Amino acid sequence: MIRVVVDSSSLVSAVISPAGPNAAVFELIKAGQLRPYFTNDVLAEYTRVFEYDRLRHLDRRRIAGLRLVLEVAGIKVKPRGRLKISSHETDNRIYECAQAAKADYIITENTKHFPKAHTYTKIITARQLLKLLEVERA
Amino acid sequence: MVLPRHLREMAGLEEGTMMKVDVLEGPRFLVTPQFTVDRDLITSKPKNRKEALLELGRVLDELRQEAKEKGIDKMSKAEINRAVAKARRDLKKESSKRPLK
Repeated sequence: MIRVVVDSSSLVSAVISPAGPNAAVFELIKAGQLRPYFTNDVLAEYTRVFEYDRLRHLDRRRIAGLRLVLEVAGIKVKPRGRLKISSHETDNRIYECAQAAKADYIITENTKHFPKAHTYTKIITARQLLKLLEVERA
Repeated sequence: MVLPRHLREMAGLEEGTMMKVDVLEGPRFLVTPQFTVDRDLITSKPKNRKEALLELGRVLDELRQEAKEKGIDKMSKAEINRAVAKARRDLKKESSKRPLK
Protein backbone atom coordinates (compact mmCIF):
# COMPACT_ATOMS: atom_id res chain seq x y z
CA MET A 1 0.00 0.00 0.00
CA ILE A 2 1.42 3.36 -1.01
CA ARG A 3 1.04 6.04 1.64
CA VAL A 4 0.18 9.48 0.36
CA VAL A 5 -0.62 12.93 1.66
CA VAL A 6 -2.89 14.68 -0.81
CA ASP A 7 -2.38 18.44 -0.91
CA SER A 8 -5.56 20.56 -1.09
CA SER A 9 -4.72 21.65 -4.66
CA SER A 10 -4.96 18.03 -5.81
CA LEU A 11 -8.11 17.43 -3.80
CA VAL A 12 -9.85 20.43 -5.36
CA SER A 13 -8.83 19.38 -8.88
CA ALA A 14 -10.22 15.90 -8.26
CA VAL A 15 -13.44 17.22 -6.77
CA ILE A 16 -14.34 19.65 -9.54
CA SER A 17 -13.60 17.43 -12.51
CA PRO A 18 -13.63 13.71 -13.29
CA ALA A 19 -10.94 14.24 -15.91
CA GLY A 20 -7.22 14.59 -15.32
CA PRO A 21 -4.52 12.99 -13.21
CA ASN A 22 -5.86 14.13 -9.83
CA ALA A 23 -9.19 12.42 -10.46
CA ALA A 24 -7.21 9.33 -11.48
CA VAL A 25 -5.34 9.45 -8.17
CA PHE A 26 -8.67 9.31 -6.36
CA GLU A 27 -9.60 6.29 -8.47
CA LEU A 28 -6.48 4.61 -7.07
CA ILE A 29 -7.51 5.62 -3.55
CA LYS A 30 -10.96 4.13 -4.19
CA ALA A 31 -9.33 0.96 -5.49
CA GLY A 32 -7.27 0.72 -2.31
CA GLN A 33 -3.92 1.13 -4.06
CA LEU A 34 -3.13 4.42 -2.37
CA ARG A 35 -3.90 5.21 1.24
CA PRO A 36 -4.36 8.87 2.16
CA TYR A 37 -3.12 10.19 5.49
CA PHE A 38 -4.11 13.40 7.23
CA THR A 39 -3.67 15.40 10.37
CA ASN A 40 -6.31 17.65 11.87
CA ASP A 41 -4.55 20.60 10.21
CA VAL A 42 -4.75 18.97 6.79
CA LEU A 43 -8.42 18.09 7.26
CA ALA A 44 -9.18 21.65 8.37
CA GLU A 45 -7.58 22.90 5.17
CA TYR A 46 -9.61 20.44 3.08
CA THR A 47 -12.77 22.02 4.44
CA ARG A 48 -11.55 25.61 4.38
CA VAL A 49 -10.42 25.58 0.77
CA PHE A 50 -14.02 25.05 -0.33
CA GLU A 51 -14.98 28.38 1.25
CA TYR A 52 -13.12 30.17 -1.55
CA ASP A 53 -15.36 32.45 -3.68
CA ARG A 54 -16.17 30.06 -6.52
CA LEU A 55 -15.88 26.85 -4.56
CA ARG A 56 -18.33 27.87 -1.86
CA HIS A 57 -21.14 27.44 -4.38
CA LEU A 58 -20.76 23.70 -3.89
CA ASP A 59 -23.26 22.22 -1.44
CA ARG A 60 -21.76 22.54 2.07
CA ARG A 61 -23.37 19.27 3.13
CA ARG A 62 -21.62 17.44 0.32
CA ILE A 63 -18.28 18.95 1.32
CA ALA A 64 -18.92 17.90 4.92
CA GLY A 65 -19.81 14.43 3.61
CA LEU A 66 -16.58 14.28 1.63
CA ARG A 67 -14.60 15.03 4.77
CA LEU A 68 -16.44 12.37 6.77
CA VAL A 69 -15.79 9.80 4.07
CA LEU A 70 -12.14 10.74 3.71
CA GLU A 71 -11.58 10.47 7.45
CA VAL A 72 -12.65 6.82 7.37
CA ALA A 73 -11.12 5.99 3.99
CA GLY A 74 -7.73 7.26 5.10
CA ILE A 75 -5.75 7.35 8.31
CA LYS A 76 -5.50 10.25 10.69
CA VAL A 77 -2.11 10.81 12.30
CA LYS A 78 -0.76 13.20 14.89
CA PRO A 79 2.21 15.35 13.91
CA ARG A 80 5.30 14.69 16.01
CA GLY A 81 6.22 18.35 16.13
CA ARG A 82 6.64 21.46 14.08
CA LEU A 83 8.84 21.31 10.97
CA LYS A 84 10.41 24.21 9.11
CA ILE A 85 11.21 22.92 5.67
CA SER A 86 9.19 25.20 3.42
CA SER A 87 9.56 28.96 3.51
CA HIS A 88 5.77 29.06 3.25
CA GLU A 89 5.07 28.35 6.90
CA THR A 90 1.64 26.83 6.28
CA ASP A 91 3.03 24.30 3.80
CA ASN A 92 4.98 22.80 6.67
CA ARG A 93 1.72 21.33 8.00
CA ILE A 94 1.74 19.02 4.97
CA TYR A 95 5.34 18.01 5.67
CA GLU A 96 4.42 17.33 9.31
CA CYS A 97 1.59 15.08 8.19
CA ALA A 98 3.90 13.24 5.79
CA GLN A 99 6.48 12.75 8.52
CA ALA A 100 3.94 11.35 10.99
CA ALA A 101 2.49 9.06 8.32
CA LYS A 102 5.87 7.99 6.96
CA ALA A 103 4.27 8.84 3.64
CA ASP A 104 5.83 7.75 0.38
CA TYR A 105 4.55 10.82 -1.46
CA ILE A 106 3.09 14.26 -1.04
CA ILE A 107 0.83 14.71 -4.06
CA THR A 108 0.50 18.34 -5.05
CA GLU A 109 -0.13 20.56 -8.03
CA ASN A 110 2.13 23.15 -6.51
CA THR A 111 5.55 21.52 -6.27
CA LYS A 112 7.23 24.93 -5.94
CA HIS A 113 5.81 25.21 -2.43
CA PHE A 114 7.45 21.94 -1.44
CA PRO A 115 11.11 22.53 -2.25
CA LYS A 116 12.53 19.21 -1.12
CA ALA A 117 11.78 15.64 -0.25
CA HIS A 118 11.67 14.79 3.44
CA THR A 119 13.15 11.55 4.81
CA TYR A 120 10.93 8.91 3.18
CA THR A 121 8.62 11.31 1.39
CA LYS A 122 8.96 12.45 -2.20
CA ILE A 123 7.15 15.44 -3.66
CA ILE A 124 5.22 14.56 -6.77
CA THR A 125 2.39 15.73 -8.99
CA ALA A 126 -0.52 13.41 -9.71
CA ARG A 127 0.64 13.11 -13.31
CA GLN A 128 4.17 12.10 -12.24
CA LEU A 129 2.82 9.55 -9.78
CA LEU A 130 0.60 7.94 -12.40
CA LYS A 131 3.52 7.73 -14.78
CA LEU A 132 5.70 6.19 -12.10
CA LEU A 133 3.09 3.57 -11.24
CA GLU A 134 2.65 2.82 -14.93
CA VAL A 135 6.40 2.22 -15.31
CA GLU A 136 6.44 0.01 -12.21
CA ARG A 137 3.55 -2.06 -13.58
CA ALA A 138 5.21 -2.50 -16.99
CA MET B 1 -40.00 35.88 -9.96
CA VAL B 2 -36.45 37.17 -10.13
CA LEU B 3 -34.76 38.58 -7.07
CA PRO B 4 -32.20 41.33 -7.68
CA ARG B 5 -28.69 39.94 -7.37
CA HIS B 6 -27.71 42.22 -4.47
CA LEU B 7 -30.70 41.04 -2.43
CA ARG B 8 -29.90 37.42 -3.23
CA GLU B 9 -26.30 37.90 -2.14
CA MET B 10 -27.32 39.72 1.04
CA ALA B 11 -29.49 36.74 1.96
CA GLY B 12 -26.77 34.26 0.94
CA LEU B 13 -28.99 32.54 -1.62
CA GLU B 14 -27.90 30.65 -4.69
CA GLU B 15 -29.32 31.61 -8.06
CA GLY B 16 -32.29 29.35 -8.84
CA THR B 17 -33.27 28.73 -5.20
CA MET B 18 -36.97 27.84 -4.94
CA MET B 19 -38.96 30.48 -3.08
CA LYS B 20 -42.27 30.20 -1.27
CA VAL B 21 -44.41 33.34 -1.37
CA ASP B 22 -47.12 34.04 1.20
CA VAL B 23 -49.47 37.00 1.20
CA LEU B 24 -49.44 38.84 4.50
CA GLU B 25 -52.05 41.25 5.76
CA GLY B 26 -52.15 44.32 3.62
CA PRO B 27 -50.23 44.59 0.36
CA ARG B 28 -47.22 42.68 1.67
CA PHE B 29 -45.56 39.40 0.69
CA LEU B 30 -43.35 37.07 2.70
CA VAL B 31 -40.73 35.35 0.52
CA THR B 32 -39.08 32.30 2.10
CA PRO B 33 -36.33 30.24 0.45
CA GLN B 34 -37.08 26.53 0.18
CA PHE B 35 -34.12 24.22 0.60
CA THR B 36 -34.60 20.74 -0.72
CA VAL B 37 -33.31 18.00 1.52
CA ASP B 38 -31.43 15.25 -0.23
CA ARG B 39 -31.93 12.23 2.01
CA ASP B 40 -29.00 10.46 0.40
CA LEU B 41 -26.48 13.03 1.60
CA ILE B 42 -23.91 11.61 3.95
CA THR B 43 -24.49 12.85 7.47
CA SER B 44 -22.62 10.27 9.52
CA LYS B 45 -19.27 8.55 9.26
CA PRO B 46 -19.21 5.36 7.20
CA LYS B 47 -18.86 2.24 9.38
CA ASN B 48 -15.65 0.99 7.87
CA ARG B 49 -13.02 1.67 5.24
CA LYS B 50 -14.72 -0.47 2.59
CA GLU B 51 -17.95 1.45 2.97
CA ALA B 52 -16.04 4.74 3.01
CA LEU B 53 -14.31 3.95 -0.29
CA LEU B 54 -17.68 3.21 -1.91
CA GLU B 55 -19.13 6.42 -0.51
CA LEU B 56 -16.09 8.34 -1.70
CA GLY B 57 -16.93 7.48 -5.29
CA ARG B 58 -20.53 8.53 -4.82
CA VAL B 59 -19.79 11.85 -3.12
CA LEU B 60 -17.15 12.69 -5.74
CA ASP B 61 -19.63 11.95 -8.54
CA GLU B 62 -22.21 14.23 -6.95
CA LEU B 63 -19.75 17.05 -6.37
CA ARG B 64 -18.41 16.82 -9.92
CA GLN B 65 -21.93 16.93 -11.32
CA GLU B 66 -22.67 19.99 -9.20
CA ALA B 67 -19.38 21.61 -10.20
CA LYS B 68 -20.23 21.10 -13.85
CA GLU B 69 -23.72 22.55 -13.46
CA LYS B 70 -22.32 25.64 -11.73
CA GLY B 71 -19.35 26.08 -14.08
CA ILE B 72 -16.84 25.44 -11.31
CA ASP B 73 -15.25 22.60 -13.25
CA LYS B 74 -13.53 25.20 -15.43
CA MET B 75 -11.40 26.59 -12.61
CA SER B 76 -7.80 27.02 -13.69
CA LYS B 77 -4.82 25.59 -11.83
CA ALA B 78 -3.80 29.14 -10.90
CA GLU B 79 -7.21 29.82 -9.37
CA ILE B 80 -7.10 26.55 -7.44
CA ASN B 81 -3.70 27.55 -6.07
CA ARG B 82 -5.15 30.91 -5.04
CA ALA B 83 -7.97 29.11 -3.21
CA VAL B 84 -5.44 26.95 -1.34
CA ALA B 85 -3.27 29.96 -0.50
CA LYS B 86 -6.28 31.82 0.87
CA ALA B 87 -7.37 28.84 2.98
CA ARG B 88 -3.86 28.62 4.45
CA ARG B 89 -3.72 32.34 5.18
CA ASP B 90 -7.11 32.25 6.89
CA LEU B 91 -6.23 29.22 8.98
CA LYS B 92 -2.91 30.76 9.99
CA LYS B 93 -4.67 33.98 11.01
CA GLU B 94 -7.15 32.02 13.10
CA SER B 95 -4.51 29.92 14.80
CA SER B 96 -2.49 33.02 15.71
CA LYS B 97 -5.60 34.52 17.31
CA ARG B 98 -6.24 31.35 19.35
CA PRO B 99 -5.07 31.80 22.97
CA LEU B 100 -2.17 29.60 24.05
CA LYS B 101 -3.09 26.74 26.38
